[in-house]
Amino acid sequence: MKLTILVHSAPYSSQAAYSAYRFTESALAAGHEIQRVFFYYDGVHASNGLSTPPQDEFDLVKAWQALIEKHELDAISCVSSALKRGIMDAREAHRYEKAAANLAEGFVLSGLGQLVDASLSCDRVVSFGA
Amino acid sequence: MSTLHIINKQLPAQGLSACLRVMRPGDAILLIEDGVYLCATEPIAALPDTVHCHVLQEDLQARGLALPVAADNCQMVNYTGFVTLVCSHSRSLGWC
Repeated sequence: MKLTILVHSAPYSSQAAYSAYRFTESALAAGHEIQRVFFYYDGVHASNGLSTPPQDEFDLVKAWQALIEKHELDAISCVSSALKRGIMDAREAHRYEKAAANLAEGFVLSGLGQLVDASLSCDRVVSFGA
Repeated sequence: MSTLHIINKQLPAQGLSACLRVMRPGDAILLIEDGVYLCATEPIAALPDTVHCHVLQEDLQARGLALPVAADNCQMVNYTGFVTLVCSHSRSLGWC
């Protein structure tokens, strides 16, 4: 089946961010296709490349990046949610004249249309956190 | 059309009764994260036989809990079971 994963919550604030990762990992292991992972509201913190948890703690940003790379996942962070929270790619950093860009590699900034598009073309949408 | 109702927190009584009110035969409940605490509560125990309740084992164990003997209408699932539940229902609904 084609699944779309919607992530609303931030790592280290809510377990839901981790649950979304575990679910995605298990769905891929079971042979399902992930149509898109869409990070929305506080969920975009999962795409902050500057997130630096202590070495003995689980690094959710790195874990997502590894999963994205391995399975060539389409991982979208909502652009308006991300900009408000100080997460941006080089293009947005240039546009808003910011000193640096920090979007983690593997993630892409895009609009809500990407969630609508994925919802319409997949078999199931699963939402994590609120 | 069946729905998988995913509960990820200890919903207030009002929220839980709203969820139970819209349950239809063939629907199922999945308790995850802090929602696993609900497995021992009266409203879940009182669910009709037509409604299956599942509890995510990893989250139950992470809280030092085991499935209460009284919760004979609840079944443990792992993440693979979670994926199967999502696919075997027409849609999923998160009660956050």
